Amino acid sequence: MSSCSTKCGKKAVLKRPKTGDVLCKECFFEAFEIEIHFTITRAKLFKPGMTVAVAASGGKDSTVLAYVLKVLNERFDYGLKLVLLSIDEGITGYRDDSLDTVKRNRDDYGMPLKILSYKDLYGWTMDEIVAEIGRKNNCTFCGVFRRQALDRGAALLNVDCLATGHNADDIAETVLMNILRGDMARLTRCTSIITGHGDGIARVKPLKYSYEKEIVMYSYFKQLVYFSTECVFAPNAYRGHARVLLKDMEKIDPAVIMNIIHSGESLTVNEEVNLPSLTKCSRCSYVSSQTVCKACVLLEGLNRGLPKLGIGKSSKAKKMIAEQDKQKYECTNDKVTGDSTKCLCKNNVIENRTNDVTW
Amino acid sequence: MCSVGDDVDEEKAKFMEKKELPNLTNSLCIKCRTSKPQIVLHNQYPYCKACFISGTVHKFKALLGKNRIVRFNESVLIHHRTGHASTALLHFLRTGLDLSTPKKIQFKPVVVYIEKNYNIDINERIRLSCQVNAEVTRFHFPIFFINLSQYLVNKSNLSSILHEKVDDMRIDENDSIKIKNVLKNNPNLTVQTEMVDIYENELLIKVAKHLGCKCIFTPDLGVDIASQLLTNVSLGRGENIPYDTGTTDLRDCDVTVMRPLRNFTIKELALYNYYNAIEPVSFVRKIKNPYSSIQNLTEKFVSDLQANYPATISTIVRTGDKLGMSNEVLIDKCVLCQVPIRKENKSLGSAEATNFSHWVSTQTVNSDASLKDHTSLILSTFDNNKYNKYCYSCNQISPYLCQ
Repeated sequence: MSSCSTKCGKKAVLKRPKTGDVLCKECFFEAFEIEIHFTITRAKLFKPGMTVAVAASGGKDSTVLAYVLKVLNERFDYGLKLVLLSIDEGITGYRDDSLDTVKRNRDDYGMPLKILSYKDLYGWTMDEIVAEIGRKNNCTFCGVFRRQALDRGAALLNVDCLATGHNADDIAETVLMNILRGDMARLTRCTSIITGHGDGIARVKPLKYSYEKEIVMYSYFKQLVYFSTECVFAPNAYRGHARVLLKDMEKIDPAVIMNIIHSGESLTVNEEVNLPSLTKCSRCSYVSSQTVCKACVLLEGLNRGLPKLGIGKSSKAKKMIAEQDKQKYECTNDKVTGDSTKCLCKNNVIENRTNDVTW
Repeated sequence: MCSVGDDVDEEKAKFMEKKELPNLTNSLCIKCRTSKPQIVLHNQYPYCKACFISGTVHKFKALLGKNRIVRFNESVLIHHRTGHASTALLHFLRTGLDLSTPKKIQFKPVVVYIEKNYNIDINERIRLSCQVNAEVTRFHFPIFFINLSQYLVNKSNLSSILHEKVDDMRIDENDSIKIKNVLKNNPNLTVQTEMVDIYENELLIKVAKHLGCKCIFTPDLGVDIASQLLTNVSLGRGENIPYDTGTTDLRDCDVTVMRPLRNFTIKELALYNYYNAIEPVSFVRKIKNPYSSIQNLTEKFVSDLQANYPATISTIVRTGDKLGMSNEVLIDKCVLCQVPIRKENKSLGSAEATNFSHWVSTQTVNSDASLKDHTSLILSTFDNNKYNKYCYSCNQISPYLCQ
């Protein structure tokens, strides 16, 4: 390979997919870090004195994020207090190992760590949920629960801001996916570097302009410890078409990732289009576009013994609940049931249910 | 590592549902509910021949009626390409003009054929142009011919290269070389295709002005619109989407570009031509390598997905319809694609981040300076405002331009 683009005289070790420049190891470290510093200061992600929770999964993105934030915080005196926040979904053989990695990051970087489990928050582990629903729609549960778990964890730790490890590839993929699905609301939101600062805790994406490839190279050259495996319940299944398209386009020209982000940032929605506005869930008061948030619907389904409740349209959920309530009502009136296994009023979970709301 | 749902924007990160073809053995036409259906549209709706034809004609006229751009007795430039879409468009217009009811079309179509089939044999190109001439003449429309490469060599003299007779148009073996010579530094196929498209649009507008037309009809189908939209997104032309894929393109102050076939599929128009016993001009196209350019890849992606998920194209097209233009008053236009340029000064954007990446990768480190001093030097010397003649995407092709 040719010599480093910075004319430092050393031999280059990698070609940057974003710009096509070639860099040696030392210049790459510096460029990668300065770029994230530039993103943080230019987009005003943090203020001095802030406590920032780093969403840590043990994977490459969050490990690099935690490491770089620590380095930059010390080098440029951001004055931030950094903590790690991990979510334990309760997936045996997947999360156990990656949590060990996070614990090692905690010791290596000297950051406090908070682990929140689905069991504590929702009363169910993912293993239990999969036993109930099967392997088909389990990612819906996991994804919806994790998003809220991060918010709850951040509130519990009393932090000012939550930093996630979303990289440029993730964001470009989300833009494509939202176009294919015709989701205008998310299409306009998904490229913002800071979200949710209206109410609640702001989420920031300091790695928004960093390529996945460079993140991997950085952690490889720096020999950072991260955990690389796929979830035992859903290997290779996510996001399908958008991911395939993006990977194919990247092979033709790696600059497409920045191009797609640029396009996403410059899209404007027609004034006549009505977008759903974000409100608060009437049950748990977390941010939601519906009266009852998805997490509460899914949880209600699990507790009622109707695990399919939150899968699909919300009108379907209302219908299912109405049907079950009707059955329950008829059953207590008649006191006679042909088939005792179908009698839902004997279900303890439902009888003890206190949070009955109108759907 | 699983990151599904880490973000607010990932809630329903799932596949689109694959549609199965319903059993239509004993069903009736969905429209008249009396006749036996002959075709199935969108993988689910059965139609009889009569209802299909009247529905197709209505769909075309409804779009014209909704967007009243053409005034009484005005000339409209019809951009003719070979194939089902162009031929069906001519038939729609001819039958509309021949009506004696109040629904009669009230404008005068003028057809233009831009010759740019450089990758096929020269005799085949001459044969095709003659066939196009015969086809358009059969519909009794005036037609003009122009060779794109001649325009690119000399842009100023339109009247000498725009011909009414097909025999007057000069077709040259070296046309493909002429096109390549418009760009320097050996650009890839993505950039080449992009430039040819930009120049073709520019030429269309000029021809329209030359012939006194205030409106241009293009034969773009739904699949063209959807792949154009994805191409635009991938090339960083998010701002161009309303112009490049909308029903109307008002970029030029005098000439409006309209896409009256954008809600049609190729199947609908091929069947329409078949039932009307008209055969479009056709030739064997070279198979495109989908991995040679972004445009080819998106085209293949959209048509492959459409085969299994019939809602693909309409979803993408509707997404584009909901996108609008910025409310900011933008005075500067990109000199190449004519789209208003948005300045990114207020907040950090992808363009600035990329420019900064390039800047930081090409600055030499002074070995005496500390890392912190070096960083502040890089930050203070970085200037994002040095490019403002072109928009974000045209800026990327500017190194290949000869002028």
